[in-house]
Formats: sequence, C-alpha cells, structure tokens
Amino acid sequence: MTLLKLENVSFSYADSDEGAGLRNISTTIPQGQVVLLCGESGCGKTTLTRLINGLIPHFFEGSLTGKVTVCGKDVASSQLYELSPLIGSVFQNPKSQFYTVDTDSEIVFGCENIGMPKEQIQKNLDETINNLNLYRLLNRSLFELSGGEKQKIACASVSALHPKIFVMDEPSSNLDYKGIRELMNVIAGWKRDGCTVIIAEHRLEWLKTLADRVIYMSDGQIGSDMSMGEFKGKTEEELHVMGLRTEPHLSPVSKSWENNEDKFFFRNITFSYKKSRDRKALDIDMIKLPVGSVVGIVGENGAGKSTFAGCLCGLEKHMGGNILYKGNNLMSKDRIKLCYMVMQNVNYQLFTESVVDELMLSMEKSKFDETEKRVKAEEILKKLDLLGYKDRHPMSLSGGQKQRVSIACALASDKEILVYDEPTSGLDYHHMIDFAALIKDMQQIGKTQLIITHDPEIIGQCCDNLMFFENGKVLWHKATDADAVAMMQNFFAL
Amino acid sequence: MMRYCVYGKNNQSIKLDPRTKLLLCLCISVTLIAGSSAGVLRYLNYIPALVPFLFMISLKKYKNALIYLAVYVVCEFGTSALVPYLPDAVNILFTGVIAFSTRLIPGAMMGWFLFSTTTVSEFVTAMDRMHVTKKITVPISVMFRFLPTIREEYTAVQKAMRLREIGSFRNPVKMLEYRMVPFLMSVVSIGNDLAASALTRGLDSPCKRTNMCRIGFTWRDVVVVVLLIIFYSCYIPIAVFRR
Amino acid sequence: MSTNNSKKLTGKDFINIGVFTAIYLAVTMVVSCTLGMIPLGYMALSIVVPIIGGIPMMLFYAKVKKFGMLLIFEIIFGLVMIFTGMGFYLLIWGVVTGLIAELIMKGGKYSSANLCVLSYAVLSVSVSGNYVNQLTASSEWVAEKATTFGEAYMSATQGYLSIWWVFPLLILLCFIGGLIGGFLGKAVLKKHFKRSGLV
Repeated sequence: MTLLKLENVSFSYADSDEGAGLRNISTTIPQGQVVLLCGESGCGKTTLTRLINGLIPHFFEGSLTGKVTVCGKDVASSQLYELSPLIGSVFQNPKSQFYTVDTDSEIVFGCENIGMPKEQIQKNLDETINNLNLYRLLNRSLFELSGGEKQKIACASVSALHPKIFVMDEPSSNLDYKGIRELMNVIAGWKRDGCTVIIAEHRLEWLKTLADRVIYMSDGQIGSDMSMGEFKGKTEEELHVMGLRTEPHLSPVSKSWENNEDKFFFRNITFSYKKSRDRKALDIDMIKLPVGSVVGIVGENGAGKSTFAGCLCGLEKHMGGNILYKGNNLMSKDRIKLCYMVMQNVNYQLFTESVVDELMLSMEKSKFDETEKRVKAEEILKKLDLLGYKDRHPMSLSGGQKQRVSIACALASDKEILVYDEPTSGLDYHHMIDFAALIKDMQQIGKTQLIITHDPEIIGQCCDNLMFFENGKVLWHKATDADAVAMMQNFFAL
Repeated sequence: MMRYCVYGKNNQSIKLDPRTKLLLCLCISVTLIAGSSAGVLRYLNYIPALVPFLFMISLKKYKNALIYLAVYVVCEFGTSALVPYLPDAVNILFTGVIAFSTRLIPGAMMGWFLFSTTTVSEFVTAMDRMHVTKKITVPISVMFRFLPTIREEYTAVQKAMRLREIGSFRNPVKMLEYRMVPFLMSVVSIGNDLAASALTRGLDSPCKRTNMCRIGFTWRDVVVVVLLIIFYSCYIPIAVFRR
Repeated sequence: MSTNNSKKLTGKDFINIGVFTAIYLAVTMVVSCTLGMIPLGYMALSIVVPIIGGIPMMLFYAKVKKFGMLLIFEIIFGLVMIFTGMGFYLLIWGVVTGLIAELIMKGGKYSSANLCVLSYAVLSVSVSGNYVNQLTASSEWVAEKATTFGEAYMSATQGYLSIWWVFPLLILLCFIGGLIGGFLGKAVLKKHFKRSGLV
C-alpha cells in the first residue's frame, strides 16, 4: 500500500538561508519501508523531509508546485495539526525540540494537543514507555538529560501519537555511540510495528542494517534510488565521489614521538562542579602528550571530555593540579592566553559584522599598528581560504566556513594550543576531509591540537595520539598504535 | 501492564491546587502593596508576611526561611529604629527604599514558593481550568521553558568571550553588542526549531486540549480559603472604619 | 502556489512571544538584581532596563509584526510581576502602554523602523509602573506615620518620590531609555541580524 506519494514536486525557499530547494521530485513510499535519504550537505534532503511532514508549506515560506499526498491526504491543503496524528517528526538538535520541561509531559504533549481522551493517552503512554524502554527517564527534568536521552524522549513524544510515518532529520548528528545504539533500537521497533520511517542522514553506518531503501539526493533532485543491497554493493570510491561517508579506517600512525623534547604534562588534575561537590567530574593522575601532536579525545558523553577541555583552556578556575607546557607551569590565566577552543556550536564565538573585523578583534591587544594587523589578518584568511569572504557577515557563512573563521581568530591571537569540541559532527564527507586537511596544516605550523570527537573518521584521518575518558578518568592515553586502534574499533562498534 | 503516574514529581509537603497558590500570591501582594498599615493594621500586615515563612518551613527550607525572616525583621523594625538618628540625606537615599521593601519581599517569596512547587503543566492546566485563552497559556509555557535555556545560552556566550579574551567594560556599547548578538541568534534559532517541532505535534490544533495533569481542590484548599475569608473579614472593616 | 502568511497570530508567533517575554524578563531580573539593590540604582532602572532591552525587543518587532504581540507580551509580563510580589500596577501600565504602542505600530503597518523605535519607547514607559507602588503607598503611609515618627521618617519613607517632579522624570527617563535602546536595537538589527539572514 502506498502511504506517501510525491508528484513532480518543486520547491524553493522564500528565504534562501533556510535550505536548498528541490526540483521535480516524484516518488512513492509504501507502508513499512525504512528509507534513508542521503547526499552532501545542501542537496535538499532536509527540504524533502519538510515536504513530507508539512512544515513546507505551512511553516517555511516559498513557492511550491506539485503535490504531496500522505495517507490519502493532500499535505498542502491539510493543516499541520491534522497531519500530526499521521506523521511523527524528529529533528536534528535534541535541545531545541522539546516544548515542556519534564519528560512525562513531553511524551504526552502531542496527544494532549490533539485532544485525545485521557484513557487513550494513558494507554499510549504506557505502551510507549514499554516499547522504548523509558523507565529510567520518567519524571526527570529535560534539562538534565544527555543529548541521546533527549532524542529518545523526542522519539517517544511522536511515538505516543501512533503515527504511520516517522520522518527524521539527521537525528544522530549530536549523539555519541551509545545514543546511536539506542536510536537504532527505537527505529527497529517502529519497523517491527510496520511503520514507515524516512531518515535524512549523513552518518550512514548505523543505518546499514535498518534501512531497506536508499534515496541519494544531489543538487535538489533524486540522484539515484536503490535498495540497500545495491547501495552496499557500491565501492568506497564511488561513495566518496557521491560525497558520502563510509566505514572509517583506523590505522596505526607510524610517526614516533619518543624523540620529541617538548612535552605537555598534566599532573593530578581534579575538578568538581559546584552542584555535586562530592563527585569528581575530573580526576587525572598524570598525562604526558607530545607538543605538536593531534590528540583525539574519546569517550561517552558525560565522561569528562568537555570538562577537561574547559580546564585546559583556563575556563574553570577551581581546577586542582598542574599543567606544564614546554617546561612552564601554566596558571588558568596563562592557559586562557595560550589555548583556544572551537566550540561545538561555533555561533557563540562570532561577534562582529565581518570576517576581517572578527580577526581584528582578536588582535586588539597586540602591539602592531592598524595596517600591520590588516596585513596579518589577510595573510591568515588567505591561508584558510577565507579571503574571498572577508567582508561577509560571519553568521551568514556555512558551518564549515564559520569553523574556519573561528580557527583564524585563534591564529590571529597567536594561540598555541587548539581544542576542538566535536568539530565534524554535522559534516559530510568532503567537508570532513577539508577539516582534516586544515588540522594537518595547523600541525605543520607547530600547533598542538586536541579534538573531542565521536567521529571515528576524523580520528582515522588525523589523530596521532589518543586519550580515552571514562567517569572523569583517563583510562588510557597513547600514540595511535595497533593497540590503540583495536581499542577504538571496539569502542565504535555498533 | 503497570500504569504510570504522570507528573508524580512533587516536592510540596502541603499540596495545594495551583489556583489556591495563585490566589494566595495575589492576596499577599495586593494586601501589602495597596493596603494600609495604619494603627492595628500594621500588626495585621505581619500575618501575610508570615505566610511565605510557614510555607518555606513546610518545604524544610529552614535556612531560606530564617534568612527571609531576618531580612524582613531588619527592614521592618531596623529602619524605623534607625531613622531618627540618621541624616536626612541618607534617609532619602537609602532608608526609605529599604523600609518600603517590607511590602515587596513577602510577595516575592510567595512567588518563589508558587514557582518552585508548581510544575509548568500544573500551571497550564490550572489556567485552562480558569478558561484562560491559548493566546496567553502558550507564550507562558514557552516562557517557563526558555528561562533555563536563556541561562545555558548566556553562559555559553560568556565562555566564548573569555576564550576570545574580549568584552571588557571599557566600551559598554560594544560589550552589550558582543553579548547580545550571538546570544540572541542562538536563542531565536532554538525558538524556531521549537516552533517547528511543536507545530508538527499539533500545537495549533483548535480542539480542546486534554490535560493529563491532575489538579483539583482538596480540604487543604478549603482551609486556606476559609482562613483568607477570616483574615479579610477582620482586615477590611478595620481599614474602612479607620478612615 | 505561494505559502500562506496570515495576519492573525499563529502558533509560531505565540512561541516567539513567549521566547522574547522570557528574554525581556531575564534582562529585567538580571539588571534589577544587580542595580536595583542600591536605592539610587533602583531609580536608574527606569533608564537602564529600556536601553538593554532595546536590542532583543527590536528583534522581536522584526520577527512577529502582528497585532496583539505587544499586548500579550505586556499581559504576561504584568502577570509574572504580580505573582512575584511586584504589585499590579505594572500590569495596568503595561496594558495601556502596550495598546498605545500597538496602535503606533499599526499606524506604520508594522514595517516602519522609526515607528518601531517610537512604539518601543512608549512601551518602555510601563517600566515606571514599578514605582507607582511607592507613589501611592507613600503619601498615605507618611501621613499616618508622621505624627509618631516625625519629619525625618516622613521624608525617608517618601524618599525621592515625595518630590513632585521625580515621578514624571522617571516616566521621561523610561521614554528616553526606550528611544536610546530602540535606536541601538535598530542599529544592531541592521548591522547583524539582517546581514546574517536571521530576519
């Protein structure tokens, strides 16, 4: 039975910042199929999900032609609330899609809105809790949950409405491996119940066992439409040409750091948050890292990776222990001068009205005069391929470009240690490769870099040292040798 | 299958209906601000001031209760004791405002009690029962959901500013701009995502919303209302009679 | 087919109203908890809150642009103030100024940037509703107390507000603060939010 039908649909946004347009999309999706929508960023896969769940034309403005029919209903002439019992939508960012403040009311939110009778809601709620195994998450504040847990509640909230179709827009991009495994279970459950699931994703590995069909989008059109079997038959090169991510290759790095004189020492680092003084968020005896290396920081969410980065950058003043860099003991105010962190949400870090101003702001305190600063700024921009954008507003750039602007600022203020917090979580294959190249360039000019990541591909591309966190402790840290690779492969197994 | 109690979380020891709590807040605030404090009424005003203290004790927040009591006593008695000995200028600048705060603090504490013991869903359910329109309840529930988000986002922006070593107070307009711009960008985009997610879950539906949250009046609410009636039947005649 | 853009407030707008009420509330809370603790600073709130609130509010004006946005904003803000013990005058003042501000916007068909600033300045006058509590309280209070506590106490409880021109001055300060904040917000809107594609 055909649940979903798109007939010659074209769409372009009134505001082109909101996404890529679509041209002449025609396809049908039967009941019970799990469909993966993939393609490079900007290919229109998110737009396609919005056409299905009715956000186009009811939320995003633009010009639409063609017809989308879901369960016999014309999407354009139905209201969003009429579609909500039929289609459940899960979005990319876990923290921005919950409406209430506690888990219980979030799960029943949709049911309450459409005026479902109380008994029915209670029944659906009980079923959802059971099917998604949510016992542990009941009665909690949504603000204290991890990204993976929030995403699970988002799934539960649409699941409680018992829709026939689920539409997910990059649901895994903010999740760690544990979160992804949970998400896989949820989707497998929906599949068992005979629901149709449509997932736009750029991380493909976890969907290989779940999806039945792959729609590859390119430049606003359906590039190819194939079964999962056909898709699996494609070679790695073919997939890379398509801009798709593949299975990561972790291989030992032969480079030896033993002769490296300069070391970066961490001794007896301890840190606790004010709220929970008794529990140490960070407790590290001794770490020794080579200066000039690229260190991958790995571990589950909440293991202390970000806390460690915050301490290293001097953001947390009450850290115990010593950090020695090139033989100097660094206090927190020294570290803030020496270190820079590219935050996961790089939007927080851009303040001015143009890219070049952003760099000038970073050089405010340096002793150079205005013209020398400008020369230096342009040099850096050229090195990072940003010279063409120097007068653009930083916020109007793409995600990858924003990241580069942020790194350019770190270079402008002569920071020696660069920390990246999940830099590649939302990037497609080509952008990830670009980022890896940038890391290598930074290594060439002598920067020491630490990358917090859940992305095995970036580790395979450029990390020559690895650190593994668990419960605030560093379980092991070493050069990326055969041993380390084996442990990583084990950790990232789905 | 087990049945789950929705909205089981409740840290109140005296469970009152949200509407009763709203009424109490309103009474305390109105009585202290618009009421009179002449003669014996001055002593009657201590009663509404005592209510938040009792509620804090019932929540076992002894420390907060004592701080509240201390601040109230100092503002109420300390200032009138000190006034004759202080120069007029100091009195005009400081003492008057502090003395006035005795009329605000109890209401503020009662508000704190209301918000800390009422979940957002209870609040919305209570407003629905009072037939408050969706035009008000939707923004109010969004507002409560966003207050913690605002704190998170602002902290992140501050962190980013420290990393960039910018934002000194030397140039206040720039400082305000640097703080506000990334903060607003991110809060507004969270707001957009939230709207999309809520609308796909039927927020705009014209049908009557079901409320899973159980609220209702019990004997405790009756006791509170009776006490209120007794209080006002003393207070109002005295206030009128004295004029 | 072009997508609909109705003139009535929709779910999206109600969410935006909630978001910006929360931001404005947070600004007010932070400023009054730092500045308002000092009595002189308490008076300065009249100008500081409208200035700092200008940037988010101008963004709010640019995002919603529909009749009712300011009225709902003021009603919710006033209700929160009542239930946090700040008295009911803010609600009354808020509804009145909100209505005038709304009409000003309607006059400019919700698109004139300068009328937005003027509308915001009018809306800012509602901040002075905070002081009405004292104004009404003090005269009565003092008359009762003057006999027992003497002249000094009288001037103390009345404070600044005993001087006849202080309250009109506060209203004026709110309005001026609103104008400054409005123009600041308008500049930031043009410099950042429009260029980055947020509005």
